[in-house]
Amino acid sequence: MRWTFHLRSGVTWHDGKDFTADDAAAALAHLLDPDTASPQAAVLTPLVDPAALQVVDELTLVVPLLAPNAEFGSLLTNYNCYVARPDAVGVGTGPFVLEEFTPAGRGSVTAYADHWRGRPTLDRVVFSSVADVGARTNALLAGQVDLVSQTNLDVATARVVAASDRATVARVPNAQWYVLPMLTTAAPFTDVRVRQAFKLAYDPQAVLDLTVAGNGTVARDNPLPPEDPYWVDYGTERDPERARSLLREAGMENLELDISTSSYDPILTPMAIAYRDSVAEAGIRLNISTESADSYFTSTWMQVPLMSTYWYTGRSADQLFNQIFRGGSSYNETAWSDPAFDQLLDAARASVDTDRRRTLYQDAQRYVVDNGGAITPMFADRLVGISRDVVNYREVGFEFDWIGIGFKQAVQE
Amino acid sequence: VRTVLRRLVASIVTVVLASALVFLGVQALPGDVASQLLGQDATPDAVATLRGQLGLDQPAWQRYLEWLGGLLQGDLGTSLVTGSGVGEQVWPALRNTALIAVVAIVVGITASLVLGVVAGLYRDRWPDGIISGVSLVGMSVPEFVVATVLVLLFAIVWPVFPAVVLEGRDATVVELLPAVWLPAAALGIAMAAYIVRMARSATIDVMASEFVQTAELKGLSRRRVVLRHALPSALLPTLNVIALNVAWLFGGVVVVENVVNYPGIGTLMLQSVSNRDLPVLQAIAVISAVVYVLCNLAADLAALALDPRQRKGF
Repeated sequence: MRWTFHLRSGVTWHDGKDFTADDAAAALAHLLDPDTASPQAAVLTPLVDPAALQVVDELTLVVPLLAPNAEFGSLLTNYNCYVARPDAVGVGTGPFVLEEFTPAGRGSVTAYADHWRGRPTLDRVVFSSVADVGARTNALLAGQVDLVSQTNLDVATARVVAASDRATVARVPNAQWYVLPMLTTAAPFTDVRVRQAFKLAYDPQAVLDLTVAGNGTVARDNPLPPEDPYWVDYGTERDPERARSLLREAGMENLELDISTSSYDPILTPMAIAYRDSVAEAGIRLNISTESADSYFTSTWMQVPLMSTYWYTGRSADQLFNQIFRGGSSYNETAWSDPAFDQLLDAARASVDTDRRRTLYQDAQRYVVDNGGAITPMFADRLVGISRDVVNYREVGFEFDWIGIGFKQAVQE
Repeated sequence: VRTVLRRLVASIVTVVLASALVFLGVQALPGDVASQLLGQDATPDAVATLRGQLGLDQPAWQRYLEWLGGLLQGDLGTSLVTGSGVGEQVWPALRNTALIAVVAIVVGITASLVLGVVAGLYRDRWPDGIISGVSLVGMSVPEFVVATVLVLLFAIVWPVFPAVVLEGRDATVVELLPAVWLPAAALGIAMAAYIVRMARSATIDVMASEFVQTAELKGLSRRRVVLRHALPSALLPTLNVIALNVAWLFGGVVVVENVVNYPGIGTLMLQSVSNRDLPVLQAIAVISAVVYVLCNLAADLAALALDPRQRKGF
């Protein structure tokens, strides 16, 4: 399969040069270079040979794929895939020009007037690094900053912020994806009946209500958020009696297990507790095991049978399934490896017919719900602290709308 | 002179021992730098490569000796996170912290000495009651609570001071000055309690002593008795407490700086802990040990100078 990219004309780099197909090829090759160590390289390397890229003319790039993938375009929308010039650090094509950057210190960007979509609303954005979440919130409440970025406020803090005169809370629906992964290579989760029982046993609505006061949507073990164009309304229907009988069939009655959690994210422990309380009805007894937050993802995650984690939503369906559910992927946190499922993903990637692809990704969702190792209770809203003067705060995937965001006064003028 | 020399040698041994303990302690932290730096998305290959680049595959004792050697030449090492020299991060942070410390010490110690002496002079009367009561509360409430309450009152409810510092470590003194007062006040309040208590009891002891009574009987004015005779004697036992407090300031500053994001040594230390930036952490720990030892040394020497009795017996 070959992908042909027709580049937009009139796009310029921050130093004024035109953005060409040569630049796009160089950016892609840079991304795939092992020395760059891009997190997205693991996804793209099996698909693209950087030596095979063909620059047809100024604005046309042909990418021959090593394996068919009709979703290749969506993989390039990942936040690690911005075009960059390997020869000029800090020069891009985005709406803001890098002015200053200090690791763990201040940074600033200024508006790029010649951006192809027009000049952004703001003239300049200044970044400050504040390590403590409490201090970050105080800075917002005191009016020193206008936006607390990259911070999901817990429900209690969000109430304080929303009650203040200066600040309020912007809600990004279903932006946090919470999971209780069962390691499918470890007992008792090697048995699919046990995995099904653990999904049937709990009440996702109770977990959602107890952990985030209902600020989100129940997922019912379907890992795709409802906003995704390929989403299908399919999930586990709670049935503790059936869970009990599945466990009996598997010879796993009166199961007692540890569920690992940490304070890495404030929701993980409440989620584990709510889950524990909910599955008691099906005869499953769980003990909460709280691990150190700073080594949780290196020493506990993917190493114990039952744990709790979260991801950000915003991946395309193809990336989500191939990264987190395909056998052998380094992010496959349930270590689930099912050839039938992987074939389903290959078939979807190879299909250029959008309707057929949608059907296949919907089958993939059903397959994960019925057989996979991930208990997915819910998607929670991300609660972002912003000043009351800020308008047009919109988040998409991992990013927000940099061009539209602005202040009330500026918009009125 | 011999006494002084012995004290100096003991101090140096203490600092070296502290550095070894710190090195060992840091090694024992769970999780390693490479996986910490690369985050949750790290592939095993990338982690292994980074471990090699950082020299983490060498044995710990070898790294310790190399580091100690560099230290003696004034080289604090290279930060694992930013790749720049540790000194570039530590010295500006130390300068910023010194700014808070100076304000807290000068204002805090002067005020608490005066209050302590006043409380001692008015023993069991109302000024003593108020001063002792308030200082006990200040002693009991942890400094981060004091700092948080001060921020809430004077930055959010009445925005007189900034709630947090947004400037980085290389901010100028003028930029930092408005932000110094709240953390300095929080530290001063916590520190004051000890000094007030100490100065109060020392004053009571001295005022009850025979030489003060003699001076009073000679008909000297109360003012003269207090300032010329009682105060210098009352200061002596307080000196050690002050020295320890200055050293303690270094610890308290870690907590208080983080509440207001002040770009000093405390914030840098917490960042280094969560980033597993061992060279920075070790440098800070050694500097803290040096400050601690120096403060005690200074207190000993000052006591030696003020009190001739201590010069014998060593």
